[in-house]
Amino acid sequence: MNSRDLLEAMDQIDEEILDKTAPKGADGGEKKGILKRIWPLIGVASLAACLVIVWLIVKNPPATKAEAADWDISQLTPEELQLPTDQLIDVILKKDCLWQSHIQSGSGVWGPFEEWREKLNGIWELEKRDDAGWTLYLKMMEYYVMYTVTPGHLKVKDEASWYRLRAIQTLLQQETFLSQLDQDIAESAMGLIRTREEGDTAYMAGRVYELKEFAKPSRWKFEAWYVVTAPMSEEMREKVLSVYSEEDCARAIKIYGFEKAPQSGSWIERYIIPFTENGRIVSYVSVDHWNNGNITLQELKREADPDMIIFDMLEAMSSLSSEAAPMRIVSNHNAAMFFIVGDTAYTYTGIPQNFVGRSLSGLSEVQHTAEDQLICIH
Amino acid sequence: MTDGQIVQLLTERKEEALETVQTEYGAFLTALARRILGDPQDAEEVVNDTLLAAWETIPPQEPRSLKAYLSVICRHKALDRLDTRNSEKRGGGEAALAMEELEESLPDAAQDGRSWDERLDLKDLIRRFAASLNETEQRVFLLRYWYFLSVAETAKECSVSAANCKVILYRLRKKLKSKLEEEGMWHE
Repeated sequence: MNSRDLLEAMDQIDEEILDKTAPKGADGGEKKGILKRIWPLIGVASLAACLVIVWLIVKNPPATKAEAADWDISQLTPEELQLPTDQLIDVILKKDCLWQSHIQSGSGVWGPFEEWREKLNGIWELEKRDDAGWTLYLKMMEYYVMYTVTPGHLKVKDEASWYRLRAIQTLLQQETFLSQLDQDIAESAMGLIRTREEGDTAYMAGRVYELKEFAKPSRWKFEAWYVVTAPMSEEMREKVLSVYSEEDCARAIKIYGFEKAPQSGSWIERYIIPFTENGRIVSYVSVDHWNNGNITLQELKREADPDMIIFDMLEAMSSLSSEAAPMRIVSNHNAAMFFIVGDTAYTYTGIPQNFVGRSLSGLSEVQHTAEDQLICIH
Repeated sequence: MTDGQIVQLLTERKEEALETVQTEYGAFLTALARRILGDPQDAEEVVNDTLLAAWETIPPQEPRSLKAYLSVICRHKALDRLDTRNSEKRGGGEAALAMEELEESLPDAAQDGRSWDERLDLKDLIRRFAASLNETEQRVFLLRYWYFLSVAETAKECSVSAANCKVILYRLRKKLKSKLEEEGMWHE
């Protein structure tokens, strides 16, 4: 026994006593005491801030919404378009009105981003011209997230923001690009989550927690990775099977259905398509709508075929392990097929569109990589 | 919002419950974790873990005092993290000092490295020990060794001088040691 045991044993002390003895001062986290003391300072600071804001508005009237929405790639001069990528980034980022206008109107998971990217089609082409183009791409994404998590626009509580953030982080963690990228991007974005939307910290905690769990090296012993996300409607399932029959998929053997999400009481449809490799079933299910009360990964594990290995791709992607990077998964794990279904497929993986093909919209536009390894259906 | 209402929200799996918990007890928990760990970032992560644990355990748990319930989780997780850090030689916050002090309370048999009889229910003993203290002793003991306030902060909370606080703590450690020796069974 040591003093640590003593400290731990104190866990059993009666709640009533703990309540009674809890610190009351500022160090106990009581807000009222602190507020009382700093109230005069807050008043003075607020007054000063108001005066500064008024002065700034008078001096620099903000762009109107119309002006903001009108900004597009054509505002870049020919000279600017010829700038090296890193300088071009600066030019683009300075014209931030573009981003705001789109995010304000945005909804859904990836739509606004797609729309926004359409406007920047020229830049999209530009970014492919060299590896440094990745920096531009990521800077854009970062900027998008920055605004997305800004109060007054979509909040970080919006799952889409979270996934985008994870996608950014994933890309940042791919060592291929590490030398060219600003490592602070992801960290600063995370910082925004913490500081700007403190109320949402708890919301994030669940995911962060699971990410940590999945980052453990012991998790990475898969012989093959086959992926499908959920939820998938009956209609979609039919479509998938019509396009990818068991033969087409080579290994699709069965559709599992989970009709009810425990706890939430809400009815959903959720399917996993398992594939076999050397007699082993390996599958994946996303918990993308985890927060909406749908089935959780844990619940799924309880219900699934015991031979099935289930893990969350989002978590995998977000792992610090470079092995989690999507392209590495495809290449290093000798996966014959990397199968993603769902409107957030693109977001989840963080795989750049020029890797999988141009469009993810519609089943008829199912895209294959040159190696026929990656299939995305939006 | 009362604890009961927050627990009800948690039971109904409503997200705003976590936001409310964060609003009501976030600062308190952060302060607790920070005192144990010293590092603000670690403390923040511990608080996040605490909230997640609350989300996962309520229901079925229905704590009467949410503050105490969260404190127990938070403290436990912070101490665990401190263990990890100590193994990495990264030091700790006020908890490390508190542990050093508590070494004095260990019976000689324990310090000799003799094993401790598992029949001794340490948690129960500590619970009874805390309950047996008078009000001032309880506050001093728990503020220092449960909430990990510094001696100066503990003294201030209890409206006693720092010197007096130290004396009270010293006596409490002796008292705890006696209790442990009285009830402990040790193997050679």
